[in-house]
Amino acid sequence: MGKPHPKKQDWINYNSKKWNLSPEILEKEFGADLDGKESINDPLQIPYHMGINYKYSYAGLSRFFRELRDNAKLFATKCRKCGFTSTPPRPFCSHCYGDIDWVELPGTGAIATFTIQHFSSSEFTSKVPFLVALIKLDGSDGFILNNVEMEDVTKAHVGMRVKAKFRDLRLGMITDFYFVPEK
Amino acid sequence: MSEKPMRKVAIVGVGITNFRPRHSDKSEYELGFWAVKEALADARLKKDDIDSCVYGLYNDFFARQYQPDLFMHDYLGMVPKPVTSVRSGGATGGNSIRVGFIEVASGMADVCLVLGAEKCNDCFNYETGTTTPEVLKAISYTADQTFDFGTGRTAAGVFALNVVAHQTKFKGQPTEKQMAMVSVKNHFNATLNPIAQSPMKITVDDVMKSRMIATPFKMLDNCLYSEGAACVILAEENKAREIARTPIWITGVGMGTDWGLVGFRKKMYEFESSVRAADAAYRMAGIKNPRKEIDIAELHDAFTGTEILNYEDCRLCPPGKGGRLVEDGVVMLDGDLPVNASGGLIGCGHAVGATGIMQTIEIVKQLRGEFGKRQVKNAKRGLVQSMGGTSNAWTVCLILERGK
Repeated sequence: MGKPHPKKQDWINYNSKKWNLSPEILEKEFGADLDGKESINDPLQIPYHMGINYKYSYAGLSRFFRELRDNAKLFATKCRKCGFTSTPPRPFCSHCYGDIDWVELPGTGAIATFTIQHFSSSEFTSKVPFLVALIKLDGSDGFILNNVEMEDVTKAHVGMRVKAKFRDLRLGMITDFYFVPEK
Repeated sequence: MSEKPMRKVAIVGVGITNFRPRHSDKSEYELGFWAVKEALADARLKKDDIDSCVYGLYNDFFARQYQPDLFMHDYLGMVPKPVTSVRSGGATGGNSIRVGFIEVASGMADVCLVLGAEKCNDCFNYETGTTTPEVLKAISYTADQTFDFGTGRTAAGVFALNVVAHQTKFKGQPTEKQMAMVSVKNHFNATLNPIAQSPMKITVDDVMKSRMIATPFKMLDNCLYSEGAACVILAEENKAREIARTPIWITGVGMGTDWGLVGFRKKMYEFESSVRAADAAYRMAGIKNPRKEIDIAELHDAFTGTEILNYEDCRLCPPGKGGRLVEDGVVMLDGDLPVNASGGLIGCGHAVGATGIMQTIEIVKQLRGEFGKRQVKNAKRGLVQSMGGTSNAWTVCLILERGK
């Protein structure tokens, strides 16, 4: 129907390197078009990727992630004015605009609500099924959303007591810890 | 806070594309053009009659273009008119109409064009050879990157948190069966809607047996992502009476918000943003008893349980009794208060920026009396509810009325 691409192999090599995709995958997704099997007015598709590199600063939240990464500790912020203990932490009180102090939490709590993800986005596809729960943390006026890891996820229930567990290699990210059943 | 608009505002023209998994032969701009051309024809207006534009295009990653609204304005040849961009997650369409309403009610514009469009399925996961995981990835960037993103939660997951919290507070309500009934209803309604993406005649059993996505939601409890565009043209009273055969008046506009970060929510068992939005819209429209005074509604049903919670949050029934509305047939097409006659997001589809406008167009056409089989008899007043923002944080409600 259409015209075969005059430099198909070069097209594949270039795109394979540029987008980090295997030649086999490119052949599967684009081969027919490159072989001239589509007509000139058919939608023309190209591989593409959008992404930005960062050296991201946590700024006023840095203490939370340093305690997590360096000391394996869970911290909240407490407002000096209204007394609200916030998880996730805030660099200032979002309720009354008061200044905050950093306070350590015991890392225990209970499941307030949860879901078992049997399907997720590209980044998490390999991990399903996994449990995402909103945890009411002891010592906090708020909640924190995180994963609960347990042998049989179907045994999870609202009210179940959990405790924070810290990973061996900590990167300064929220995923440096997760929850496990307390007992 | 004053909630009194300075001028009356009517919808005088509507245009909408098919909602499909993929329009690979149309870019977001071409879909926008399709809807705009239809809306102008419906209003019997020309491009030059438009004073200002509002665009609701939700996801830059979908569009492969940061701030695509800039170029939408170009493609539509609307330069040098003033323009506003709206981005409110799933509430983008409804919030775009709210901003258009503000333009006209305030006197900044006499005629304002509101366009929502979305094109998601150019996103592609080369490992699975499918689009959805990559679409979900594009959406996941709207989750708080510092605290929520790393949990792998999806939109289904977050709405599931609300439903499980509701079941915990209200003795297992809504049940999975009640939710399945919503799926059956909305897929069926879609069979009467030619633009709908997912027309299906299915049973409660089909829904219950479909594969688990995020407990308690199964595959058929979910909406699917769509590509499409929808456009409404708003006009002030004199202009509306001059050009429109049946102007549909926007008599109530309300918006409510909840915390974007899930950990900050006070109540997970209701959508507080919906409660606030609905109450504000009812106040403006002078509605005291929504269950009696509203004839038809299009509610956000990204997931079946979401629709049931929204019955309650829009005060169409008491808290905890949402499931009863579907069991009793109240919300069916031939019921006392049909909900999602279009098929909703589940049946018609979810083309995010366009969705709230699609819902609005359904109500406009119902009030005009333009439908055949799915026409709701004597519909005079309708409710549109458009919700989203990451984790259903933002909601817009609109009240539309015929006559007056």
